Amino acid sequence: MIGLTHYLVVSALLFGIGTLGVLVRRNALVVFMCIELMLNAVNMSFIAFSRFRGGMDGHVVAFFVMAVAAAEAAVGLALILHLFRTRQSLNVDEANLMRH
Amino acid sequence: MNIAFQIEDLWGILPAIVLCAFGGIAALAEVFADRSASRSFVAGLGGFGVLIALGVNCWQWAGIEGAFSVPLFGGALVMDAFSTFFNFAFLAAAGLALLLGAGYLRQHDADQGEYTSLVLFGATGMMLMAQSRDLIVFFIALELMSIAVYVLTAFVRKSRRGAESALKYFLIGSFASAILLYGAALLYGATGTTDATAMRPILDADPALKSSMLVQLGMLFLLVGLGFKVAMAPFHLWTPDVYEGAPSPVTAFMAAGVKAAGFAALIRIFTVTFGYDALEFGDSGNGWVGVLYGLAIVTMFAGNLGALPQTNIKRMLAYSSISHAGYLLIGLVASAFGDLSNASTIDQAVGPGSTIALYLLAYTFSTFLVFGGLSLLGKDGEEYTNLSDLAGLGFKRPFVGVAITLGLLSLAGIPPLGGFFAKFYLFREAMTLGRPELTILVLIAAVNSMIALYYYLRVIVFLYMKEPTREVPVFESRGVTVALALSLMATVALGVMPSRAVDMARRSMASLGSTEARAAARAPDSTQTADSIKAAAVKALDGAATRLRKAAPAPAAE
Repeated sequence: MIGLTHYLVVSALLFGIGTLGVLVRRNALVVFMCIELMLNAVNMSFIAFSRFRGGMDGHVVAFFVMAVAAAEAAVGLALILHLFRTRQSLNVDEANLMRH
Repeated sequence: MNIAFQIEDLWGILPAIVLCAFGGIAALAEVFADRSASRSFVAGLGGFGVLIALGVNCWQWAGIEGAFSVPLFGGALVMDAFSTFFNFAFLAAAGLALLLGAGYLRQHDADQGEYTSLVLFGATGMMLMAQSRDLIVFFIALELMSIAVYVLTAFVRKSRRGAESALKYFLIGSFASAILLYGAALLYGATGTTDATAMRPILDADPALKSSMLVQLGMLFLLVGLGFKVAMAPFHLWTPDVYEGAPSPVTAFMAAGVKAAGFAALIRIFTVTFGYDALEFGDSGNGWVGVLYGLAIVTMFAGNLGALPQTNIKRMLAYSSISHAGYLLIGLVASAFGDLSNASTIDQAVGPGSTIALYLLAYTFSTFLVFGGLSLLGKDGEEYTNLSDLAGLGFKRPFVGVAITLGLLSLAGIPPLGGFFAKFYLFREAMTLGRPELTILVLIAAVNSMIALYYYLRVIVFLYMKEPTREVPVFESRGVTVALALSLMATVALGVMPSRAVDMARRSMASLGSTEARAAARAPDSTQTADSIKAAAVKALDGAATRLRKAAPAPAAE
């Protein structure tokens, strides 16, 4: 029987993979994908909690989070494109104009 | 997330509605504007919106009697003196950012009306952040603010630094948002509600749940997420790059507004809706207060020591902004101690809490003085913000020189300016609690203030005592002059006659612990609260909305 714990473990794993990706990957697009993965892991937690505790709150939250993630994607991709235009590279390590 | 919609609840978020509406109107007006003249019309429209929102906010402030708190939309949002006080800071930041923006954008060949609507949308998000009690509403408000500011950071398209810093801000900001959201999910799982106020009685009733891994991790993630937003060490590493690369008016908006909104949320969520006593961590005594205590010390030192070697002024101010987050954390710790020492009342926490509100107000105006002056140096996507670029500016443009000087002195805490009084009040309130831990914290802060004097005064030396080494373009702008004059008046007024502002700040903090809010928190079931919400809404809005109420049909009884 698959219970709440299973869902939470998968969600925590996804969140962990996303976090790790943000910290170690160097391509801005991949970093952004990892952030989306984290948001979806959170969605999964919300829905699992909602399903097993009763109540619709978590389900509703998931929709809000998806809408916010879409808005973030629109802005984020535009910013990534803008950076690519100015320096022909997506490597975040090369974004080093500002050093003290 | 029990969002019950009643039409009168809209009164409670009227300033935010006005800003949001004007943001939309400005965006539409931009479509039809193709000449420079109509661009300034768009900016003027935005300024008009800020003025109307300011009027509405004053009207609401006058209508709120004493320490009072009105839950809106079934408790998802709340209107009280606290949110209304912070609205003044957000409106000031938005208005000043618009004034600085007009000339700056023309000079940098980025004269687009979207600037106006983005500033207004960002300020809307800030207002809703200070008002939200439900964690999900809070998250959406946070994103509304953040996304607008991400775009503003990259607003000058010719600037390569802007593009780079916007991407950094975006990636780190949304990373922090995701962590914060995970915290909200864990707390929802533990308590079965996303309303932070309703969480409190559930947690209070079950100490085992309160000290459980789920709740503690949830609170930790919320703290980390907010820590990124307010530039608290060790989550501050993005700050120097982003502050340096963003256009100066946007940096000021970011430094003042985003930080104030973050602290408003920290106060409301961490200390009030969870209760000051929830800051106690398990059985180990003052765990959460201990964490904040440590963060305050680390943040102050990280900011002040980081600022010392900087030769770029905006970078230096970024570190200085980190150190100010550290001072503000002292207020948070002190207000937590204030309540912990006397758990039955919130009164002792009001003084230290109000120092945060006052400090943020003084910080807003001082920051705009410095960044406003700096925003004049530059052309076509290139800003001249090295220390040596300021050489001789004090004589070339005397008023700008005076504004930057006074802004820096206020940030450093030199009397008789607003920054001095705010800092003095913060230290005094922390000391009056008579806890040795707080005395140590204040001493550390005093040492830090002395370190800070060095890098603030160095800028003034460059302003008046060095010879210019290269030609720096400095443009003229009426908007900047007006913004500097307004900030100057506010900074001096806060320092010379602060009693009224102190009263307002104390009232705003007292409203957080008002009996109505606590009663609503203790009775989360909907039938009971519906009446109390209704009664509270009617009582608070009566004073402010009498005239409009007469015109509108009476709301149907529940």
